[in-house]
Amino acid sequence: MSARRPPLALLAAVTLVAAVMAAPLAWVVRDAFADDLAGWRRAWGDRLVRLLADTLLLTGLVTVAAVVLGVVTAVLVVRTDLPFRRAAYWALALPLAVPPFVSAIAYADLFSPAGPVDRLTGYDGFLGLEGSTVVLALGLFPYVFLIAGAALQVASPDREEAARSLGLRPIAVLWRVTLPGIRAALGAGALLVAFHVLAEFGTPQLMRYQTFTTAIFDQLVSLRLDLAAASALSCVLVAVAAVLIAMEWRLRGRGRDAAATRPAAPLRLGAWRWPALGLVALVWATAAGLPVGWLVWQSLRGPEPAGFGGLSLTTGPGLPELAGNSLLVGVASAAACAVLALPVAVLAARHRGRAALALSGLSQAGYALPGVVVALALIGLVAGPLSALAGSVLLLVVGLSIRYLPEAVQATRGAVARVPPEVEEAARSLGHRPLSAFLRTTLPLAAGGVLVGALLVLLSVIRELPATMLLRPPGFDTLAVRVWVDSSEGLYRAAAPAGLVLVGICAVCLVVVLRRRKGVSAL
Amino acid sequence: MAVAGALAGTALAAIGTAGAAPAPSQVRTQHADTLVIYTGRRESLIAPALRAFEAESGIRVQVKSGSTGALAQQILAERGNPQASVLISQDAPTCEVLRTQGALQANPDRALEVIPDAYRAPDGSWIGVSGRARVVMYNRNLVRRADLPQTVQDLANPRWRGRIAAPSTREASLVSWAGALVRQLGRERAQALLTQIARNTTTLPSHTDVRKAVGRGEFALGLVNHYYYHLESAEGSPVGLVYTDQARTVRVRVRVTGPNGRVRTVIRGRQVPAKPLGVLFNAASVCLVKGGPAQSEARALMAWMTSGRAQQLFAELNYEYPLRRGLPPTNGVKPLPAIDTAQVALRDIDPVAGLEVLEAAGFR
Repeated sequence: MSARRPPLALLAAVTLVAAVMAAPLAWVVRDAFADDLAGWRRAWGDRLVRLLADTLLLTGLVTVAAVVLGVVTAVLVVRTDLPFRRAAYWALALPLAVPPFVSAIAYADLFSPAGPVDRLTGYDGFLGLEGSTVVLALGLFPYVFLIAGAALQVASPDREEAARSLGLRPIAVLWRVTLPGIRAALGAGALLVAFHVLAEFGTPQLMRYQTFTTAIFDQLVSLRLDLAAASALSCVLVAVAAVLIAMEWRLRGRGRDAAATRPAAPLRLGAWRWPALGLVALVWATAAGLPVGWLVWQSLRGPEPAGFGGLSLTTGPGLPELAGNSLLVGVASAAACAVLALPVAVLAARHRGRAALALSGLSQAGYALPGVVVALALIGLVAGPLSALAGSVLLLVVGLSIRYLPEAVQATRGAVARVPPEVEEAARSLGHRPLSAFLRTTLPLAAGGVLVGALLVLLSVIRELPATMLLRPPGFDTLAVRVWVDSSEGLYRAAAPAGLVLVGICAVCLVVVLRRRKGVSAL
Repeated sequence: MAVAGALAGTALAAIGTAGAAPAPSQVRTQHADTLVIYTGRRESLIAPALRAFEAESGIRVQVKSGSTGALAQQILAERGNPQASVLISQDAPTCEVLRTQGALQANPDRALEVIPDAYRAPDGSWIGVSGRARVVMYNRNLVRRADLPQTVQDLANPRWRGRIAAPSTREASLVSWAGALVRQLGRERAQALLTQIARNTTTLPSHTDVRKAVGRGEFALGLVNHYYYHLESAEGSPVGLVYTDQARTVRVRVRVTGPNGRVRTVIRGRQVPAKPLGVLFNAASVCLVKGGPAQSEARALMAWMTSGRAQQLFAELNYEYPLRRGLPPTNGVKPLPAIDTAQVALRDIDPVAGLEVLEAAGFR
């Protein structure tokens, strides 16, 4: 990291990106505080405190559950002699390809009171907080699994061996030495999970649980489209997310051990090998097996029964068009993010100082902006200054790019930071202008990270639901929208094939990302 | 600055090429004959009808579906730059709100007069295309016939605590129902009644969720439009429906004076109550957006929606009441003359008041 002052052109570029990224946030804050705080009063009337408590409760429960699941599975796969470790790794990473709202559709269908499971077993306590927690924890724990697994792989075993030689039992070593050693990674994983819970729309909606995100969505689709109240709710949500971001920044600096020079000796599970494998299988079965199996089952049931007169009730465009639309928005957003992330990543990786920190922070405002909030801001902007974007796919691409730019920045920054700045300086000393030197040296060397960032954005965009629902132009359906709309009309058989294609595309992106990153530090 | 320009330029180029590249079927350029329709009705219902319209008229349609209220708001927000030509609404009152706000275009097409005046804006800017009665559906395994609620007041009885399912207030037909109660009972009484009902009620996202939950037996009663009962019944669920607030015929002794001056007592049937509240009979409607593109195509759609063929399609696909004069409902739907409907004009229902009392009552 050079302490050099950043070049003016770079600062200008990042300022431009930061301005675009912060615009929705500014617009939402403006809307919330315009009009004499009336929006706040109406939002307050909407049980603001209760909403805040419910949202934080769900976020806390899911985060704890996901961290426990993620750490236990990561330790099993990385640090023990678990049988079939390679298969177990993929079995625990791939549930990330199943968007939680898709799982929630399957779980809600099977576990509703008086539903199939209730009829068979009498168990009907699934919806609400429990259902939301289970589905979200199963859908999001792979983030912790991957991040904690990566940290466990690179953590040096020296201190653990010292502790063991001093007579500590293996479990105590794990608890008192290993896990504290990766607490930065655990914190990062936990916060990532928490962000996702805050932004999640489909799961609580299906599980009949209200959070800030579902309440904002309700304001946006109500007859009395209440932009001021929705903006006020959004401000609170953004504030919560901002607190989490601040916590993440504090954690990020800490707890970096020297990288491992050799792998740690695996913990012997002995007789516990097979129960441990059973646990991994159970986690896979509930996180990926059940929802995907449900999708396959519904797909195999054939088309929806026709209505009267033999008319098909299934409505939307065919699968190729849906997949094309999803990929169109995904690839366009990924490309936009990859380009926009570059100056931010270079600034963050190569330069210090308050301006650099503030600008790169602002450029990542998307972390604190759940999809509904971005959509809310853009709906307001389109009704006013941005009316040229009304009814175009570009609006959707802009919204999702703002939302997911941070993912591209993270991946690109890591890659740029690994390229020694001396290479670029050498190019410059040979007469290349700064931009040309960057394009010829650092960019090619960091291309892998840029690609990973773009793929992460693609993955997120294809899985995204609420902003896509609100911002898509007339006649424009994506896989996620189709799955949601059809299943909310009870047309599961029509929804399922689109769901399978969605999961398939996500799985391919995920495999490419994880392979490039040698399985671990991608997230 | 050069870098910034270059980067921004590349980004825009990337977005631009990606946005321009797709096949024509994905992002259709707006030809003059492409009709942009916002629909608050369930896609599975409206799409077959629109496909039939496309085939018969040669006009291409693009649909954006969402909640009726949100789309109505969007039309208001887009008044300076209208994107849609037509709104297909779950209910008539929302259309009337748009009309009074000046967002609709008059349509003096005589052909629309096949729809009775009650289901049509005076200036033809919106017309009802299919009728629905607001009913209570029930699970036959959970409620005995004798215990069924006969009036909306009965729904407030604590015996139904936790046993009633209602859709969210995003559903315009629920909001219209509350608006009608405000009109019929006065705001205070309607508010008190709905607050009591809300204590017994669980909110599910949509009518479809309500009918399924009642069908599988999670709730005893569901607040729905009549066709949700028929749809659930057709899937084989043990459900029934109640038209609430109907007059019953009771036998009463009446003293009559005969022509010769003699007084005698006879038994006659009498309707009790004399003026029942009745069930709300609402109309899914089509509005013509002022200044929207493809006005003549939009008018063609409105005319087509009133045609016998389209009316039959709604009746058969979704068990609704055709509104065109002289067409009876099919598929075992109770004919309109046999039902006491609420004596309140659809145009007089204020959906915003309905939404306010629902929210204050605790409906979500």
